[in-house]
Amino acid sequence: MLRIWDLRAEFYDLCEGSALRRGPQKASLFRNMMGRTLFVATGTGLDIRHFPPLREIVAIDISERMLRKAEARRRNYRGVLRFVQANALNLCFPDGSFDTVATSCTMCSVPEPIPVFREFHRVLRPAGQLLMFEHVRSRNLILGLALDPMTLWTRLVGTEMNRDTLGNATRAGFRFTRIESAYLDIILSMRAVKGRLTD
Amino acid sequence: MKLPSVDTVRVVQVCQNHEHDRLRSILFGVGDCLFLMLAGAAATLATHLVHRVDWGFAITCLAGMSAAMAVQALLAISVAPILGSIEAMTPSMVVAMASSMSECALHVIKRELSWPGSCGLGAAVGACTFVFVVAYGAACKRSLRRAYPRG
Repeated sequence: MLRIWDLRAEFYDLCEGSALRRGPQKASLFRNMMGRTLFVATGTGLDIRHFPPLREIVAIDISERMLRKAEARRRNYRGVLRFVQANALNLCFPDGSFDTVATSCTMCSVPEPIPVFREFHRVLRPAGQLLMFEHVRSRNLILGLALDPMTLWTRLVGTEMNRDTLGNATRAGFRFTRIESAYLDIILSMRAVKGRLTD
Repeated sequence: MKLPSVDTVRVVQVCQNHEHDRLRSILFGVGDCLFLMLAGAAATLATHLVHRVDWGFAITCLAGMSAAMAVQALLAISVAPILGSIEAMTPSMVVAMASSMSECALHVIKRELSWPGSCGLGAAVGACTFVFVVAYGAACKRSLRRAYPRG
């Protein structure tokens, strides 16, 4: 897993260069970052430009090479932005230590989404918020069937195209307060709050 | 000279943002439509060329569809930095599948198209898929707005 992301760091900016299209929607979602914020899977820091200024943000990534590439973007941020190399499956932060957890195209790439959501749930303070800009499997029959075979080869580079991220977050104890479509019902801009943990 | 109030300035800014958003969505719409038509034409042409080498119906169809998928994937990867990876890849996959299957269906009923005809068929499938994507996108937005009204 770590090797894949270290390798992808080299050409990540080229492949994920769709900020032109998704940038304003990401900026509109991240405007809601409040209090101490944990940003998960920073990558090469492409999303830093969409962060609102003057926030206190801890940004993590599993790959040290990604974080090294993101360093210049971190220095340009007008606020407190700290990088930590960490695995989303095992966050090195105490319980209830963040007011907001934010992700951007992260939940398609973690190997076990529900345990990761449970980690978010743990590090969030009571009633803390989760902001997600994620792609999910379409509910439309034709588009859903197109995303399934795509997953067969995107999985090789660590990305699943057909995840039920809404269901996974709900199962981990989050309650959605707002969902907006960024592209059909595939790319969604989501806000959720920490609810009661269910098994 | 009377200066405009803060509220007036805000209203003007909101209007300008709406104009900017509309222009962006129109430009991306034009880009999506042209790309889907191109992907359809190229994928159908690839299938058409494979059908000219007659290896038996099943193998020809399979090879034709694989060629269409490969062409579509290459085109989608090349426009991804502008149109977005998922925004380019997902509908163009539908276009490549549908246009390639149409070519195979015509082959079954012994109606062979010329290569410009194949390109036209692919472009038409691309345009139809674009209309479907726009309609489905609007339906998704409406349904989410109803489920999660802005507070």
